[in-house]
Amino acid sequence: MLVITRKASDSFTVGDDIKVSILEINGDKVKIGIDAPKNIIIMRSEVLDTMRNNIEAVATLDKISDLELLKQRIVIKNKEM
Amino acid sequence: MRTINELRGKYKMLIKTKDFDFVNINEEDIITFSQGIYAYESTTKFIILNNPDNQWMKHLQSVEDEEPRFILLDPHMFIEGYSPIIPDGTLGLLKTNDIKDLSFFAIAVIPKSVKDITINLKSPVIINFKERIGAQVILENRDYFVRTRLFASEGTAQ
Repeated sequence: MLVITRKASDSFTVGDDIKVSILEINGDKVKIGIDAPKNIIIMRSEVLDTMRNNIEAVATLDKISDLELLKQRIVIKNKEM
Repeated sequence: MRTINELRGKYKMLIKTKDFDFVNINEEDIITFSQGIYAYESTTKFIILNNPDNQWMKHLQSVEDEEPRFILLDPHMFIEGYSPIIPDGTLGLLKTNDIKDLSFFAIAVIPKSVKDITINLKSPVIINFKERIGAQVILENRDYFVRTRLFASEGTAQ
C-alpha cells in the first residue's frame, strides 16, 4: 500500500481526473473531499462490505440443517425475541 | 365507515417464500424498508417469519418475491453486552425518539457448515414494530464487524 502523509487543506491526485483533498482534521475524524468523474463509484468501505455480505446472506443456506450446534452458542437462553 | 386503508389491513395475502413454500400472511404485518436493504434497495416490503423449529431464528422474507430473504438472529443472544451506537438521524428514520422502541437483528451468513456461520454486528436490521418500519443501519461502533464468526475457525494454523 502506498502511504503518504498530508496535512489539512493538502490534496493528492489519483490518475488523471481524481483529486482527493484533506478538508479538515478534528481529533480522530478526517473530512475528505473527492473530485471524480460521475462514473466513479465512491462508497464507504463498510457500505460495500455490507452489500457484499448481504448478497452472500441471500444466496447461502438453501436447506437449514445442523442448527443444534448453533443452539449451543446461545449465551442468553430465555430472552424473548 | 372504514377507509380503504383500514380494510386493506384485514386481508390475508399468499406469498411464495424461499424456505417455507407458500405462506399466508396478514397484510398488516408487512414491514416497510423505505430505503430497502443494502444491495437490495428496490425491495421495500418484507415480512418476518418465525422459524418453526427455532423461535430464536427469524426469516426476513421479501413479500414480492422469493428473494431476497435473510436469516436474522438476535445479536443479544449470541454476543454478551451487544450495545449498538446508532448514527444521528436513525431514530427519525425509524419514526421514534426512543431506542427502546427498536429491535435489532443480525443478518447471518450460513455456509455449508454451520460452524462457519458469521453474523453482521456492524450493520444490523433495525425494526420499529409499532410503526412497522425497518432499515439496515451501519453502526458507529468501531469494534463491530460485518463478518463475526460465532465459532472459532478450525485448523489452518499450525
